[in-house]
Amino acid sequence: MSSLLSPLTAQASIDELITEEDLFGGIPTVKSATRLEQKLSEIPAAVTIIDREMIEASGAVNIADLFKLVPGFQSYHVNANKFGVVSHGMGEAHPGRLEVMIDGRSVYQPALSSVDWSALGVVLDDIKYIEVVRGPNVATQGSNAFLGAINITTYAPLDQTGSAIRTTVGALDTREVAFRHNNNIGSFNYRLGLNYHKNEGTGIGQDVEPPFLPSQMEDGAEISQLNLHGLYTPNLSDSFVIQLGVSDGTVGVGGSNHPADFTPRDVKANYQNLSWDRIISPEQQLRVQASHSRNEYDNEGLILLSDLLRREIDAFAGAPQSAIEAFIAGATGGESDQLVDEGMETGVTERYDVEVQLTQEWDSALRLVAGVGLRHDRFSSMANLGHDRTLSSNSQRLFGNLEWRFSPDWIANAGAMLEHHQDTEARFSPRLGLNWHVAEQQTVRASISRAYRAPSLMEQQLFAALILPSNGQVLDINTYTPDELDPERVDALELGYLIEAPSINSVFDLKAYVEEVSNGLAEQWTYTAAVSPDPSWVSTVIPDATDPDQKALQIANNATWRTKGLEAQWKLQPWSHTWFFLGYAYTDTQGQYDRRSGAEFKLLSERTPTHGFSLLASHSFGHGFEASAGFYRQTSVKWHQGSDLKPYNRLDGRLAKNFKAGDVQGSLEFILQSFNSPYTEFEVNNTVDTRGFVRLSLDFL
Amino acid sequence: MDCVMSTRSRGSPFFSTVWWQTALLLLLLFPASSWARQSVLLVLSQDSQPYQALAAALVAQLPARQWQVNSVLAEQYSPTSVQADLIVTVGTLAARDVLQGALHWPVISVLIPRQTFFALCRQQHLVVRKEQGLLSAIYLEQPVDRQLQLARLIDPSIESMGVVLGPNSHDQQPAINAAMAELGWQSRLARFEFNENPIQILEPLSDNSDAILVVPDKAEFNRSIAKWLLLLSYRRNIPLIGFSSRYVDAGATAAVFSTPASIAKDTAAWLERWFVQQGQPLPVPSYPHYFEIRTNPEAARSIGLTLPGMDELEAAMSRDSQP
Repeated sequence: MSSLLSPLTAQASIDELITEEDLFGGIPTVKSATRLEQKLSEIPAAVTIIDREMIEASGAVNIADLFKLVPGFQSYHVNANKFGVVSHGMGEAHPGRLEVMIDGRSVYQPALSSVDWSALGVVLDDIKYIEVVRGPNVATQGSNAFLGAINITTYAPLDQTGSAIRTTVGALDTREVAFRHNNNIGSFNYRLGLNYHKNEGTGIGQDVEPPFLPSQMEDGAEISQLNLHGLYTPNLSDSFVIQLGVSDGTVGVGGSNHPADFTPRDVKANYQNLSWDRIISPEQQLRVQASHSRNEYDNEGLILLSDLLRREIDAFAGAPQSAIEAFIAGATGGESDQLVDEGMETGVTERYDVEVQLTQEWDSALRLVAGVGLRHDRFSSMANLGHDRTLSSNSQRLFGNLEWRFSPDWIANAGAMLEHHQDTEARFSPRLGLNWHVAEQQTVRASISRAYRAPSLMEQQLFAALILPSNGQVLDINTYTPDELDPERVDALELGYLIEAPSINSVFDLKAYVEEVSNGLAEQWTYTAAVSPDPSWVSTVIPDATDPDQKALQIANNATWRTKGLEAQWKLQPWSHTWFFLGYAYTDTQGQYDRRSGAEFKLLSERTPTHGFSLLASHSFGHGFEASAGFYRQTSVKWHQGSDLKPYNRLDGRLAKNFKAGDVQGSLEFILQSFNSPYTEFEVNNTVDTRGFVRLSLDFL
Repeated sequence: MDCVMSTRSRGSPFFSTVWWQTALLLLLLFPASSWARQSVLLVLSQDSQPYQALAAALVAQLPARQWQVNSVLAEQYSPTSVQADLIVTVGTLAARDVLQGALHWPVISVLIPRQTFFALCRQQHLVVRKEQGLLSAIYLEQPVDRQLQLARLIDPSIESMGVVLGPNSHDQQPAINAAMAELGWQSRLARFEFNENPIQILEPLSDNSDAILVVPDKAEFNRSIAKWLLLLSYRRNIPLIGFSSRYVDAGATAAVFSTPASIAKDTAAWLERWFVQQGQPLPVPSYPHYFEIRTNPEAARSIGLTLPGMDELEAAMSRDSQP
């Protein structure tokens, strides 16, 4: 054969030449350019992209509000400055079944078993776009992407130039200033972001129980944040990114059922993220990412024990102070009345994470991404663990996804995550997906997955109790975890249909799915009389002073539910100056959880709104004038520990004037949220009434 | 009889080997079957896309009553067993293997970059065959003026064009400068080596250009530079002209390029002419006459550019590329 006859030098020299393979070779997709829409037909999942255009048009003033757009997702204010975002319902004050990542770094807080949307370190101005994976994505992103994942991509140093300042004033006495500056020091490019936000919260609320006293809800917030995003590219093959951030502030938290009970929660947070990307060869890329984050919460809610008893126990409502003090002395073996701490959102959480990922492309038909990750979590919280020691946990993960285009019209994806958490057996979460281009611009997809969510450190070791500071006695157990918890499990089946029509810039996606959750974690009433003082640091459990039944809530794997539904989303731009985004979700949840050790089962069907609808439309009138409107509808729902919520329709509007003067480019926006009628989110008193904002942005080019 | 198929998709090497060898054997046994027709041997670099796609498209283009088309993989090619009037090499490996062996037939190399074809035929006997019209090529890339024409059509306000040249494409510089000068555009060239900081070179280039043209180089370079080029062109709101369909997928504003199907059309046209003008020399090595255009409307919109319709674009490009 002729190639056997070829001298080696000829072989060597051909490697130096440009060949047809070089011209036909893949070019890495820059997400900012295509916003992935061109690749949606190849993804084995339903994805919603919230791009910058949508962020601006929505008139949102906080990040969480953006997820009202996403079909099947619910976003709500727990308080004026505390947010919950869930996929397919099951909302609560601290929802934990979604992974939220910023530039590949998980911002899920084990201390809250949730995400602190008000202290992410980044604000709306820092966000370039958001990808939302609607459905289990554990195979790619690990445990917390149990029912979905939110991936926030922030602006990189090269995305912008010069400096910009943006200020927002308006409802809730909101005052916000955000500043950013892009520049370089030698070959180090950076973007510096700085922001300050203050608002006074919702205002007046009324107790839901007698004597129905109205009072001011202290649910305002004041927070300052700083972030730095740096890029260093020493050569064509390597690039290094460093991201640093700090947040410092206070948010008022509490149940808005009782407006007077709000307490300030201080937060001090910082993060560091370092990543290295190396193009080893056209077929091989390496990515190494290391990150650390630390969040410290201090939610002091000091109250005199006598006042607490007076508030919580009807019999003490009108009792003289001496009688209550005598009761305290009797119950505690002679201790005096003293200040106790009601604040639950207190603790320090730290996460260290390292991940190495290799992408290998054999040819245009076969690609593999695989990697390994190590994580170390630390958590301390007197309020939630009942002691002040620091708990830690290690976990390891192996992950991979193989993409195989076995024919021009078919793409198969096989992905899996093997996660091992300390003290539990390793769990394997696989996903298989098949995409079939049935016709030009039309794709049908199917995927099947099984995923596990490991309980967080707090869920595993919870012991939230009222503890007497003077001698460490446990006066009342609120919520605790008596037994070892198993991971939650979800089995999901999804069918999708994607139609793209580039001539009118239209992308329509329809998804039908079934998700079956087993071993779900939920709170269950139990009797503290049966609680033995174990672990040993619980010196005494005295007869429950606040509840004759000595009841407490325990966390257990006691919930099972099945959700089926249909979701549609449509983004189209029929005319160059006008675009629409529509989302609709029908969600049907059936299931139950054991509320009282077999004595009472609660149905879960009311924990998901049956219908959700969102519409965002934007039009440019020319001469810099722009208008956009958002309409959001959600049918009735009852969130865990929230109130019965009626269906709501919400209308938002925004008018903007863009202008340019010399090297300054700016915009002035008038935003009106919920201008049709007020409605309630999460709990009574948490009313969203008409809120107006004015925003001025100036970009110095 | 038409005893050889050339449009097989993936098959095992064993079957491929058996198939081609059987075909060649049949040809040897029944040479009379091809008396009335011209016989062309396609030598394919590999048994995969895009080589098989080109072979299939070429077979579909050539009238079966005039042409007998046989195919062989480069690794199985042997000059001693060739029974053909003309050889078409498909891809760089095939060109190398055929040009290294004994040559008794006219050869057209297709699906090959221009400079690679030149590098492969530096030997004196190949230079002579080229001059005699017995060796020619249809290049894979587009001529610079065609790419500039596309840039002008999508953004008529362009006055200066930034061009990025990698370690293996430096030699394109004179042709690019000449094409720019013809349009009256200022040409801003950036020459790259791998150990250079891409941002420091590309930032001033994008700051001082109305558009950027990417010249294909080795895949490693293409891949490495693309990310920064796309980012910086977006930041500056200037169009980026890529060189492939996949560049447009990744975010380039537009690209003009050849596909296996369009190269097959060019090849068929050359073969038809050669058939009609028996004995005449082959045309000189040329850029392809046929090409495809793709645009990325979303990318264009995000840099504030309104693209002409595809029909309009194709008509203007075809008109301008008429000989």
